[in-house]
Amino acid sequence: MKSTIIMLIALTAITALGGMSQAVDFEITGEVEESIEVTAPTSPDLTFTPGAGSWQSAGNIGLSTNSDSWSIKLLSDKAKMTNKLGTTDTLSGAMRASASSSGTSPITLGTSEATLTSGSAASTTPIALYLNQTIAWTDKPHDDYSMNITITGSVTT
Amino acid sequence: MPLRNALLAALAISLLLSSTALANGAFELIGNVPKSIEVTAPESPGKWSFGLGPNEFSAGNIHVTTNSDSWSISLSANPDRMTSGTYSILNPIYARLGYIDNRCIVKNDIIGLSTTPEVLMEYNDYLDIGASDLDIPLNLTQYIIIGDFPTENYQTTITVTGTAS
Repeated sequence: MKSTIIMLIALTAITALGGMSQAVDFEITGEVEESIEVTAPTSPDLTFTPGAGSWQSAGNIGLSTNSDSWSIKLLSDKAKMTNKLGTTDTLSGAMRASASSSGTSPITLGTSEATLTSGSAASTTPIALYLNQTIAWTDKPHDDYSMNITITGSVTT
Repeated sequence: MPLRNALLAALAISLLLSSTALANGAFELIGNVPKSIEVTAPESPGKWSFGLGPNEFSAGNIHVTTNSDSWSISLSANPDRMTSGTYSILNPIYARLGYIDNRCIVKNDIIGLSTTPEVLMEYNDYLDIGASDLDIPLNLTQYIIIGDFPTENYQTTITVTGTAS
């Protein structure tokens, strides 16, 4: 009798454990941030002749953005191109940049950022970069005038 | 307390609206300013009258603009001698500089014009004057002999060439 009671208790316990189920939920949340990536063109080597100069292609700025409000800004490490080797000769005029081959809406490159172009939709279309350099007859001829240009892509959230 | 909350909210909104730089790239721009020269020919002079013997005239100024510290001016003529096109060809034309006080002119020759450009003058900026913007006076001489046929339409075209070196 005692063993029968023990078996019944064990069976009851097994039944209670085997039939129990439970469901719980959790939520995952995700955020896709507004992003922009820019890549610089290959360092161009341009020739500038005396006069107002023409707009010369400096290659493309690579662009990848999912933002509907973005801009691309340029700045240079010096106000004007300077002879890199041998002398400190500096060109008398500042470099201008435009996203258009005809020089529409030009910016003057300098040590402060200036907006080259902006957009209002996601884009992976490269931005053409054109440069213009006025050369005075008093600018000394050299083949190694140089400046470093930094491209910054920004999104506005 | 409400004022503090309002300020915090305004700050949060302004941070959200502000532009965020997310990426940048950089490249080096290399520029070449070559040696350049521009020359302007004198105005075509009025018709000259040549007498027997040497006839020297001022042909006006060749204007030179250059950023080079070493340059030269050459002349050529086509045809190589003045001709009326019908009867006669004159002796060669000789060219030389008119008076100019410039110590950087290191070569100043009398040349006989031909269809091949010949150096009239050379300039060397050994005084480190810098870019040049000069008027170069040009004199031309036409020698006439008895056998030259008299006619009024002798003509040739002179080409001025500037070379920066």
